[in-house]
Amino acid sequence: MMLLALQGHDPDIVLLDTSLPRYAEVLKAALEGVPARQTILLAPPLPAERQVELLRAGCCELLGKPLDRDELRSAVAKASASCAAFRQNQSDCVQFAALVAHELKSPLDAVEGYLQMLQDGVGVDDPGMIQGVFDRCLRRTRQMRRMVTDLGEVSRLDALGIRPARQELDLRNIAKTVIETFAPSAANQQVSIELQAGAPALVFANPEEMETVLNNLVSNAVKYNRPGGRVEVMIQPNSHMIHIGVSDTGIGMTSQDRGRIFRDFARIRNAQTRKIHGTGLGLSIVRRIVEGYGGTVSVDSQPDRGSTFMVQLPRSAAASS
Amino acid sequence: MIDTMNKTLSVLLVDDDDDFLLQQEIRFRNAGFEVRKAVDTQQAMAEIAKARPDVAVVDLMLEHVDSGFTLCHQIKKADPTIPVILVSSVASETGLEFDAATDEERSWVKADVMLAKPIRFEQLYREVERLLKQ
Repeated sequence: MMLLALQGHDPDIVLLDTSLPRYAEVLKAALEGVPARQTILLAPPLPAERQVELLRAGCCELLGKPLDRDELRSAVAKASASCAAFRQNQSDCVQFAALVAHELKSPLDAVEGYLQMLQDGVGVDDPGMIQGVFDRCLRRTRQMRRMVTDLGEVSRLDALGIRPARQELDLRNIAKTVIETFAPSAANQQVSIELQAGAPALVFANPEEMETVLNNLVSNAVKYNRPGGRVEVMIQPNSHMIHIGVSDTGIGMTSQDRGRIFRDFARIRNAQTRKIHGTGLGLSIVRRIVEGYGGTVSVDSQPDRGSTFMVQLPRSAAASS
Repeated sequence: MIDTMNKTLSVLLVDDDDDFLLQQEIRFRNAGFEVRKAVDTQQAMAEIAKARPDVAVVDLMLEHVDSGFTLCHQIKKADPTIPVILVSSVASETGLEFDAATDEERSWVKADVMLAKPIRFEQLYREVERLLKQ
């Protein structure tokens, strides 16, 4: 009877009394059912090992009998929130996979199209054109490579419990290295980069992650700039936080775009950005890293005037004490 | 080969993907077409104002994810006799099952043919031939 009720209704939350006959069988069915389901056990006091065993098996809560009404209410509220969060996460994953598929499809289509041309013998007697086709294919495969690298980074950051080694470091040094890296491409676009940093800016963080944050921000500030434009990297410590500001004199964005720019694959599509390639994951990676350190990231921007990206990271404990 | 009665046929390609434009340009030139290109709705309508193309190939995703629909409407409004082929790879984003659209869906999309990317040129060319014969 109980088993039938479970199978017939697919409940999101199951409250199961362990004193019922065949309760073990029902529990097994409850835990194997709908993945989002939350199972709460109502039991007389159990030995600690048995409690751990049940929680490990997938029960979300054990409530001691006799039941306390408030305890029960809060357990059900918690279970229903967990169930909703599970469902949301599932649908986010599905959407993420659809976006990844779409983003990889266009460079793949392009490379396939060129290969098809060569196979059909179109343009093969023109060495100049063949060279052009190779250049285009390489550009699109590099774009796919960047996308795959960024996806790896996103999945690493989303995986719980895997945090890279941290050390005390000065963000001014990282900013200098990043600016040196981008100097040639900025010069190509007649964009100047300037660092404004005074006091030591110490954080307790992973150097590669900090480099990724500044790399992505400076790279965007150069890419979305205009000839003769400027990029300013400002690093300023206060009592508890380090403020990083990356400003550009570029194309800027509307308030609508500002609201979604830190989401996955949130690339702004307009005539000005058509020729600028990106994976659409750079800023969402920045957000993930910064939030992983208990920091915040935000943007201030005006169309045609430029943008300022602001990051706040907790100052290293040794430095702020 | 399409029988052109000695007139060079022209195709207008509209896409914001440079590689798609280049590939189709080479293919259509090879097939004896005059090729004109546009990367957004505005450029496309400017090209049409200059001279009527014999056929237009429009990508759904231009400046917006569904700009191609608007452009199809605008082209047909400017000249209902221009055959329009709408291509797309964004079925997953628009929620529209592009290659399996029902007759009802086809009736409100102002395109003569809809094709899903990636497109084989032979397939595109076959549709162009068919539309030019009508």
